[in-house]
Amino acid sequence: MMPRRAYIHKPTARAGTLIVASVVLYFFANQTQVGYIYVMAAAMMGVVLCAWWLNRRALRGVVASRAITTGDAIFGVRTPESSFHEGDDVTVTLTLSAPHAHAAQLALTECCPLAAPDSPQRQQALYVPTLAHKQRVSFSYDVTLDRRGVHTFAPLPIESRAPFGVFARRGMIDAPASLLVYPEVRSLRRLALLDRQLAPQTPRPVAGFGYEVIGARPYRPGDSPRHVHWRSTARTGQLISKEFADEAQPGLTLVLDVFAHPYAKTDTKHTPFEMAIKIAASIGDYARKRGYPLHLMVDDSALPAPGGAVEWTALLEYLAKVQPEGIRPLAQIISARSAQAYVVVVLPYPDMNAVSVLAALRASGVRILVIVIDPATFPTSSPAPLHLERGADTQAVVGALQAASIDTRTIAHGDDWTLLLGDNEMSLRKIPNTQQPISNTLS
Amino acid sequence: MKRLSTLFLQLFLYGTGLLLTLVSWRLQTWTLASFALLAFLMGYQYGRARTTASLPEDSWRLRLLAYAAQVVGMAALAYTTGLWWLFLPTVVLLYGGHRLAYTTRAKPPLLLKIGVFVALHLVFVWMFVGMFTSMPYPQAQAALLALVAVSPAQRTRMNLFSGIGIGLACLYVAATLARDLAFLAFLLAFIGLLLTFLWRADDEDGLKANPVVLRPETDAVGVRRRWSLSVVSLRASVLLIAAAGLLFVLTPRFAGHPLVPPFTINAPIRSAPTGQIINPAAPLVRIAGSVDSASDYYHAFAGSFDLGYRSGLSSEIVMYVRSPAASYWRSHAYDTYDGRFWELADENLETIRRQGPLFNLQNVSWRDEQVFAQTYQIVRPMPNLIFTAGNPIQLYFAADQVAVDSTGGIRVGGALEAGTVYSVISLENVRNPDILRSAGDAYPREIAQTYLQLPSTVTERTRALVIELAAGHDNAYDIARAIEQHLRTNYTYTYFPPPQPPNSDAVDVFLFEDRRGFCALYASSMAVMLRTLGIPARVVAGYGTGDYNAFSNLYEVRADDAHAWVEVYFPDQGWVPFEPTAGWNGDPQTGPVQRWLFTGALEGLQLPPLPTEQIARAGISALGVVAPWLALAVVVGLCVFVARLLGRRIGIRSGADTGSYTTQTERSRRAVLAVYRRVQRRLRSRRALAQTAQEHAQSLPALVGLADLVDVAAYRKQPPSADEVQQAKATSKRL
Repeated sequence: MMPRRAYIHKPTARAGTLIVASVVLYFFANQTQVGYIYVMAAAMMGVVLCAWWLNRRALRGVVASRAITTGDAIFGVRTPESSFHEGDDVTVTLTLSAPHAHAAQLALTECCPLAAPDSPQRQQALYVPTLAHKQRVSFSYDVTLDRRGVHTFAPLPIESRAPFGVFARRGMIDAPASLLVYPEVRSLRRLALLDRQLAPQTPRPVAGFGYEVIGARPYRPGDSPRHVHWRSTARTGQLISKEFADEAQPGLTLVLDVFAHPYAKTDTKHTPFEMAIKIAASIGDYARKRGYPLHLMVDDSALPAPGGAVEWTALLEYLAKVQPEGIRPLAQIISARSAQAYVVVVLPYPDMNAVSVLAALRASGVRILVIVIDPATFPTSSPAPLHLERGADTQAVVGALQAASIDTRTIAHGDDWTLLLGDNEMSLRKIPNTQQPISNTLS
Repeated sequence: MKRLSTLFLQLFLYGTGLLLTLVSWRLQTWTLASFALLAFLMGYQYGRARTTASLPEDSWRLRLLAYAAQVVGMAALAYTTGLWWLFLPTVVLLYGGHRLAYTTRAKPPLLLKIGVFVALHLVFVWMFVGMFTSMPYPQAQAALLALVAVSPAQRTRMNLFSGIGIGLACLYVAATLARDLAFLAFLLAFIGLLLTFLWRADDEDGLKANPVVLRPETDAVGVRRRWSLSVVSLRASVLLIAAAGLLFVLTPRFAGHPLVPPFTINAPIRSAPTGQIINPAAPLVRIAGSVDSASDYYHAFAGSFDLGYRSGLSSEIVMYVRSPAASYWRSHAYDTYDGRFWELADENLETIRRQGPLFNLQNVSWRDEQVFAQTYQIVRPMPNLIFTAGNPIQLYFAADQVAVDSTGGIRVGGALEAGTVYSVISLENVRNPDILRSAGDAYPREIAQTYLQLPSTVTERTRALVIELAAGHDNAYDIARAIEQHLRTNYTYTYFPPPQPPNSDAVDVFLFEDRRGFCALYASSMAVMLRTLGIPARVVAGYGTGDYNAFSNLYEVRADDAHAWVEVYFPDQGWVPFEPTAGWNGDPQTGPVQRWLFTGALEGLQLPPLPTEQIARAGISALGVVAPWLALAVVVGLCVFVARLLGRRIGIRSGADTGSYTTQTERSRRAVLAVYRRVQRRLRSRRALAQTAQEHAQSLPALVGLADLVDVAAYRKQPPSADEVQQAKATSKRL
């Protein structure tokens, strides 16, 4: 059962005028004893009562629904699809109907959370002159999905002053619609980390279950007698088993720093974290297309991440929802987990503490690509934290990573990171030695 | 700066008006008072014109609705007053005024404002002149003309509302004069138009304020469903009539003291009243015996009252009475009976002269809670008798003097013409039976001498009947009630009893022979019977209550409501009326008057009487001074208008009209161009001198919309509208 809506029903200035006129006429009627002035006074007040009664029912039964679709503009076919990405164009259709009664002079405001804050689609004033019983009106508009995340349409504010503008009835009608917008995924032409490998099936030099013998070890109860290496056994005098290579497919671990760093405040959606999300999604897409199983290594305190090999949609869903609200630094996360053969680390904030952990990981044989985003290059609405003003931290972190022989890319706001990620050389964006941050620039 | 100057001028005008009022009050010169009124009105109008912050109304539909509502109000006024000769030209002029207001709504010329201002004040002068010169319904004429005078100034939505308000005022004036149900049709039409105006106004606002308008789609079978306005109209109409009807029925009615004395609109009666009762309905030749035809002539409205006269009365309405309580409308009484005629033997008349607008009939003090007002509207020629209810103490009548006879009957110097309106303030005379029972029998000598008179024709059986009826009652009140009841229940009412035999007593014949008759016979019988017991009584003539119309709150008194009843004297209580006639269920005593909080609110407030005569004289003298100059101004204005019209036709243009339009004087043009300059500064991209705004916008697509508005401001003949200026400002904010 739908909850009862709370409407506000208020008199307007016209009600006051009519009531005053009625009272004045009544006064004069008593003073002059003219019968028709009593009639006029009663008529004025009758208008107020009639308007009050009819206006109470003004929004009764008005229902709204929304549909969000994306379609093929060339063929003009609109089809509902389930995945929406940042930057996609969608069509929102709002439909109003009055299945039970007539409605008129409806003024409502369509607030679209999908549109950019400064876009005209963000808030649109609509007016419905008349809506008869069982009629419906529709309003469609195209909007570019501005940001990732879960966007829920708020109830529609609606008002009617029908029939005579004497009373105004205001309320909200529900037109529930919720949309999960995935982050933007860009096609990478190349990713150096993965492209150096000939095939994803390159066996790891890890013991496991396979066919290629990569070494020997002491016999363990349970080993098959057929796997005993007799020559080594004869030589050493103890049972030795053959060691086979693990022929499981090597995966890619995406490491995303979701720690709640002191990011500078900004009014735009162009933040280091958002860029990190896009990069992570794009890399994940690249790896998926090449058959690499995806694993996610993040702080679950921000948002519980799917474990094990992550399905593509699960990754997108996670990346759509996650916010930089983690309570554990990246170093702690990396130390506590095991990684796959390939690791891509996306640092939206220069965290020097992560360098040593990453170096250790590199030393263990894992192939690592670290993408460092320089927050000092992003527009801010307030002065950036002092230590970021000069981009010093980013430079220091990059230098430390490079010293640890870790493949590093530095991305600044405005860079075409799809190209930078494919480069073989490590590139470091030079930070100008000025006191002024590069801020308030729009991409 | 402009607001300051407006405020200063307003204060100056109000202050001048106040000063003139005080001076005129002190010196009692009403010429200054009329100029004070003008000053107040000027201050109000001037301030309103300058500070009303509303936009010109662009919707011709709304204007049409407002015009229609005003016409309905004017039609109601014309219907109730008969001013059709003024209604038709004013409707045409009103249309012209609205048309002019619509075409000049963006920027009304100064000449127009001055013209409206002058015209409105002339209307008020006309009203005062009309009140003095007995023009028919001067206030109604002023209402019609005022509507026309202000119509060219109705440029904005607020002005249209005000115009509808003036239409409502016309309806109000019409309501005070309406007597039949036709007024309801005007009222319903006005309300319908008003509600349609309100609906339409909201629709227009919705369409303007919201850029996206949604209309219903076609349904599945492709047939477009049209939303039926009639469904909502019908529902609203039913609800409105039900609500208004219920309120009308349930709302109590109270009596209040009139705020202003009622005006009398006919020419004053200058001649002095005499002892003669002038009855314009009296036939030239009175035929002895029965007269079958119905007429307005009631033989009691004469110097002597012939009980042998037989005649029918018509059912034509002779007058309307507005009174907060039901009553009989008394004219006079008779004191002497001779067996057939009643006469007023005492011919002494007390002449009373008018004091200001009214006659003080009695020298008594009273409070507002004790009195009630009645207004009489004479429809057909009536005798020179003033009909009253209760105990009249003040009379508002257009005459120099009136006379009061010994029975309290009020006479004027001539018959009352149709259209005569007068008002009476009376004390209530509701009597307590218990007090009357204990009144005793100590009658004053002059009362006993006059009102115990009996002729020798009174028979013994009449006296015996009285004794029989009085048996068992020990006071005059109960005896009177017993006689009254006997007559009401034992005798039949008829206009045409058998002719009175010669040498007989009319009362005896009625009581014992015919046992049927008309009101005069009943009243005469009761009066004679009471006199035989030594109880002073007299026969009173007048009209019964009539039919009450709840809508107009008027008692519709017809010729056949003419009536006679009895008054009985009680020591210290005065004359108390009784109704002995069978079939007459009215009460000659005035019913209780419902009073409310405001009835006595004006007690002690010394409102000055409205000096219409003086104001009218002042108006005429002022008009005499102003008229030549006004005529000259009108002639000059007409000449200028014609010259400009001819000039336009033959292509003569003024210097300012060169094809391109100056931006120096028009505010909206300047506003748009200022916005454009501001945007250029903000975007750091100035238009080159040789570049048009459109060319400049090619490099800055965001300026495309603004460039259109710039072209409008610079080159279009009609300056940018307020909406376009707002659009330019909104574009600037977005950029």
